[in-house]
Amino acid sequence: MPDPVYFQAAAIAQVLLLLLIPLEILFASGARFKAEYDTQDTLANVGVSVGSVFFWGILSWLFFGGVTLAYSHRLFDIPFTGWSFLLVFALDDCRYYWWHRIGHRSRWFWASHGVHHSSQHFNLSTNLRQSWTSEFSGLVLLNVPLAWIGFHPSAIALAFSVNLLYQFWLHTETIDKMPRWFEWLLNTPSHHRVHHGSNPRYLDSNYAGVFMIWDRLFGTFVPEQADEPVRYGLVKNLGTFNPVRIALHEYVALARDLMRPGLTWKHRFGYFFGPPGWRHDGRHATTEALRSMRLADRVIVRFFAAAVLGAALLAPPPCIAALAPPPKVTVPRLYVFDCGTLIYNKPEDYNLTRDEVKDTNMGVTCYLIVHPKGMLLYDTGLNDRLVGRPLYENVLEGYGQIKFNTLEGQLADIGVTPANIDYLVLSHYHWDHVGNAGDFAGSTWLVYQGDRDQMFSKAARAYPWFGRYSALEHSKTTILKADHDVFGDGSVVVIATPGHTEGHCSLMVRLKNTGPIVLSGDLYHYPEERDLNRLPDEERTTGTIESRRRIEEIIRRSGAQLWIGHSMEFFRTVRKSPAWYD
Amino acid sequence: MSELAISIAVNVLLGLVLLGLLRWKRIGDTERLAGAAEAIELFSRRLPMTAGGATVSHDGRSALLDLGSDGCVGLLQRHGRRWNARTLVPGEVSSAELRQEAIKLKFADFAWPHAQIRIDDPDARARWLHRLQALRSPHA
Repeated sequence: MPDPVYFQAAAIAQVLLLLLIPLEILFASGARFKAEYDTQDTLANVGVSVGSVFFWGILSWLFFGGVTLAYSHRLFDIPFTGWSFLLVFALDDCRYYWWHRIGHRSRWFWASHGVHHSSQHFNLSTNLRQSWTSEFSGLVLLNVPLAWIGFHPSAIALAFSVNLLYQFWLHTETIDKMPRWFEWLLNTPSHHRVHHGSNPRYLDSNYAGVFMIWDRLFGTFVPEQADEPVRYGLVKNLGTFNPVRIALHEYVALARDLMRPGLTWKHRFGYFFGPPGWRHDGRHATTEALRSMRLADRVIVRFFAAAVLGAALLAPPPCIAALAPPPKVTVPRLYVFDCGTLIYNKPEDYNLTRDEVKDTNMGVTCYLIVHPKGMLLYDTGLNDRLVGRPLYENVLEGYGQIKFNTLEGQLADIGVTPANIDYLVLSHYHWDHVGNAGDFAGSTWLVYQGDRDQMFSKAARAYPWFGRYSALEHSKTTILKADHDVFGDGSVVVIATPGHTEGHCSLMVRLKNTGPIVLSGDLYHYPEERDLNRLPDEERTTGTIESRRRIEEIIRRSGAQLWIGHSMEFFRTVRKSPAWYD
Repeated sequence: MSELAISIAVNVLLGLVLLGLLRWKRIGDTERLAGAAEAIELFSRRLPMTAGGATVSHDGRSALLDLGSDGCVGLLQRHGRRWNARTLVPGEVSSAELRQEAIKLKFADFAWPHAQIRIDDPDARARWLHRLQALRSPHA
């Protein structure tokens, strides 16, 4: 059992940490740091904190009673030492991760935890806005296994106290980023800002308490993106500073949902334990559904206004747009997306004359393979933010970039969000292929070492388009060393075709009806390169010749079609999403 | 119990210190709507809807927006240092009353229970009051 002095130290540390709040206000008002306070919001935080402390005081016996009972039936006697404390701290941090994740993904538990997320400001005083019902919700049961194993209840309580003390400094905008190793290993203000974001991209991510490895391990890590500032608060924000309403608002909303007329018990179960935003009629406003909406396209989706803003209790509003569910398949399916067009008139760069090339412009294609075991995206095209901008703003390295449709919107049209994509493969790292790669940092990135090294080299960090893929640096990554059968059945195979870049790769897709297809990235740009056997001078010694020879041999043996993504003829005629090839 | 009392006392004391500090430093919200165009722009940034027109309140901290022929009304309101937006569809307004020059609204929403919008122009005020009363829930 830990010495009581540890708890006294924790209590003193807690008071000292509280003093950081006035310090942040002082610095914030001096504009030396970025921190935004509002009087009503801050006082509401304090008001909620008073209630939280009160209810913890009268309900904490549920925590101590549960763990003490479990401890009385313990399997082992684990003494309190430095090592055993480190162990219980790490295990409790894992417990915290799952407690937190469940708290976000199930409505009953969210009714309790959502209180902490209800402020639209993010500063050290946000720490004070805590649930009144943590012990009451039932998740205290997650503490039981540690006591049952044999950790003393006081050791568990101390580990949790230290964990919460660590989290105090996370609630601030005054700290931008910590050193890279620190950001990788531990929870930081940057990671926690993302966690408090209501942007669809940021929802339900970064649940960690102290160690960020849990999010990386369980696939919920999302990095903070420089091009998308965090909007703090809830999807449906509160219009009150009343602490009682703040603390209980979601319980009231849940009760109203449960009392809707005509519900079955299955429906009620869905409202109670389903994710926040779940609806019995399928018009969900869950995280996944919100990500599917084409907000960027400014489509009027009254569903959003109705369901998210709570009016869904009433008669269905007139302008509801149904959300497509993500495709489910029994055989692989290939979608082709229009990811832009490059206006270009210098085929000499590819050792071709203008007379030899039918169309010197280039299409830009992205591909989604939906497989029964998962989804893979091959290339991400031109950046979505080019949409709507005049051509003269969008000239890069002599190429004029035109884009009419966002990749995000085209994916949403078929019910797919970045969160649905299991694997990301980039044919190579050039800007017309990685324009939206950062959006898929939550996927597993399959990449060859040469390209990854180049993408995060010192020189690459100075590229104007570095930010479009920089988030991949911390994504789950599989370094490929040879050809790679993604789903293990030969239907989707990454083929190493170095030359255009060191880690350039093509993709072989075997479809039931269409047959085999090779998506060749930039192995060829113009079909005439293939017909006339031409290639850029700088690629004569880099491996392109050998890679082309290898692909041609694969095509000859398999009877595959070769799809040259930049070919305008191909780009014009290929069947584009929402149609597909299977 | 004494520990509980001390914890609550610490919180209350902290609240008083923070209140004093925020007042002393004059940290407050001074942002106001410049006009209808800004209200429409801010609203559309929060909800994917395009308003056909807007009336800004006397204090510039809220606006009512015309969301089209189906009778839906948009409400933009300052909350702390942020703008909150919501749509008011038929049945969502519990009551809409005129108090002096302000329209006082009560919503069937525990988390956003009421709003008050003072509109200087009597014609606009009457028009909005009429529209908002048409959105009242049947049981109100």
